[in-house]
Amino acid sequence: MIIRFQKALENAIELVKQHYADLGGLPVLLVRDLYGRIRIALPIEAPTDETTQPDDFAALFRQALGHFSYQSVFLYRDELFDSDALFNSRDKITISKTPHIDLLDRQITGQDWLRQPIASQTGIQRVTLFGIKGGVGRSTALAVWAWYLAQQGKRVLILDLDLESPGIGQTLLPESNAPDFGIIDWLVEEAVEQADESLLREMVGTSPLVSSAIGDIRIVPASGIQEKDYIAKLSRAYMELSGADFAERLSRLLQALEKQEKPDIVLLDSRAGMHDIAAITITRLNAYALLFALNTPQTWRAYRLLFQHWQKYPPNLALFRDNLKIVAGMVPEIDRAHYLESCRESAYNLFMDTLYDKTSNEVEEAFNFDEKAIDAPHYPLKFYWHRAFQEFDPVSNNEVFNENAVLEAYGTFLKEITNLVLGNKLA
Amino acid sequence: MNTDYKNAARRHYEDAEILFNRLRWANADQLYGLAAECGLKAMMVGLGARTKSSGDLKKHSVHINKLWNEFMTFANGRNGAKYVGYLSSNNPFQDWDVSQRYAKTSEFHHRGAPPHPRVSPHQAAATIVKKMLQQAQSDGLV
Repeated sequence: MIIRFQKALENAIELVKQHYADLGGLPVLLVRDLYGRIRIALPIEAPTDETTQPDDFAALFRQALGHFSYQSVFLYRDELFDSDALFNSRDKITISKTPHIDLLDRQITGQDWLRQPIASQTGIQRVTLFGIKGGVGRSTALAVWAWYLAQQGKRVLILDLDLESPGIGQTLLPESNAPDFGIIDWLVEEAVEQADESLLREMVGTSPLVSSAIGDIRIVPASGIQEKDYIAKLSRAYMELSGADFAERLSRLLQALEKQEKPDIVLLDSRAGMHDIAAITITRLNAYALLFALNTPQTWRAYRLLFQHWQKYPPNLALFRDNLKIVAGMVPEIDRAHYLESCRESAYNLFMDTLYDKTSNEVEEAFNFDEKAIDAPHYPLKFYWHRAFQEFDPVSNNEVFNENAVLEAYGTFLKEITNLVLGNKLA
Repeated sequence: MNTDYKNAARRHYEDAEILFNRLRWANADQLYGLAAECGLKAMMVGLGARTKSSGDLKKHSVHINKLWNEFMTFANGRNGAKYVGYLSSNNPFQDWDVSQRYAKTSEFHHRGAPPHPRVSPHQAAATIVKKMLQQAQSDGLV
């Protein structure tokens, strides 16, 4: 029988539990490599006497894991290059307390979904706008909200982190206002240690769409106005440097920009889908995370795939789960009430099955909400589909920000989200 | 004798540490360079570089003062990029040479405890290669 990927880890855990005492009763570290193959790392020297090796166990283990096992099931301390780095890795996840079993899951991408948030020194409010699928009106909502905040006298800083499909910069900046550099430039220049202050200053442009005297929208686009080498830069952008993973580099960039711009609020336009950029902007930058959704089965199914990962490996979930909020995007004109009710129900089921604690309400700190609790993460904020916001191009058609259209489509959304994020800080 | 870059990398590093801690600078330095060379060669084998039946690499028969930059050019794509980021883009072994074994001990003279101006940077770089090898071992690459 062929053992598939997901079964291999289950079988490994089961076997280790059954034979825990035979393995020496020490904490067991399962190491799953880039291929998905699993070994057991033991903090002891390899036995010299062959008869003392737990051969029976190794044979069972190989059988239970098939192609996802190694010929040498054990990885002993003296075979390692840096045993501390392995046994004390920050990516180690405890998957069973008694007996004690840890997992070190080596991945090519996606490690950020489970890593700890990075502390911010500026304390400036950040909001991530994310859609598990595209076409949910995320970038338009971001532009309208930024405009609204600026009209209210707020300084808004926007980062276009949708590097594979950039756009918000062009949406809000006419060519004459576009800066010479973008986020992509900072990433390649920082890798060779020349992301200096002048680069940072020339990465930001001011949107002319705001008529408020105090507020403004400052935008950091993905690329500069003269860009001709975008793919060459993009294909190097995700470099991890010794001592700083990609998320830590993004955090450095963000803090440097916050110090330079001193905004009241930062809006991060995240890339759609389960990409590392999304993992970082949702879980690692201490941002309030708006999760945009259309009420379709494929949307909820995709969110479920993501949430199940957090459910299965929850070591840092409590550090960001309070920041999650569903947004029902482009709610259709017909039968809105029914649509929203169905949307809320789907979101509730998603959270109930995955992230909400299964304990009763008597436990005070339980992460659990009533289906109709307005402040619950699953309870959707909403904005409506509106003809005026199709082919959205405010730079050439400023009319789009006429009060009525904005109020009709986004009125409730703007009030609720602003109140939620800035509270009474709004003048 | 057959070549085993992984095993040799570990041995050279461990012995270099013993010499370093006894302030035996000259040979510690020599071994840090050899440890880093074997480490990078083990990585290159893991990343798909071709070998002879003896286990030796078919190409790249150079020491660490040249190999560092050759590794940077060799590593590419998703698998290689994971490791390039570990290494400084300025070759820290530029001032290392295998012919140091013929040099006089006094060339490495240094009064007192570490850091040694010449050897300590090589130690740091060899330690980074060691960390990278640990990563590659956990990744199932070497």
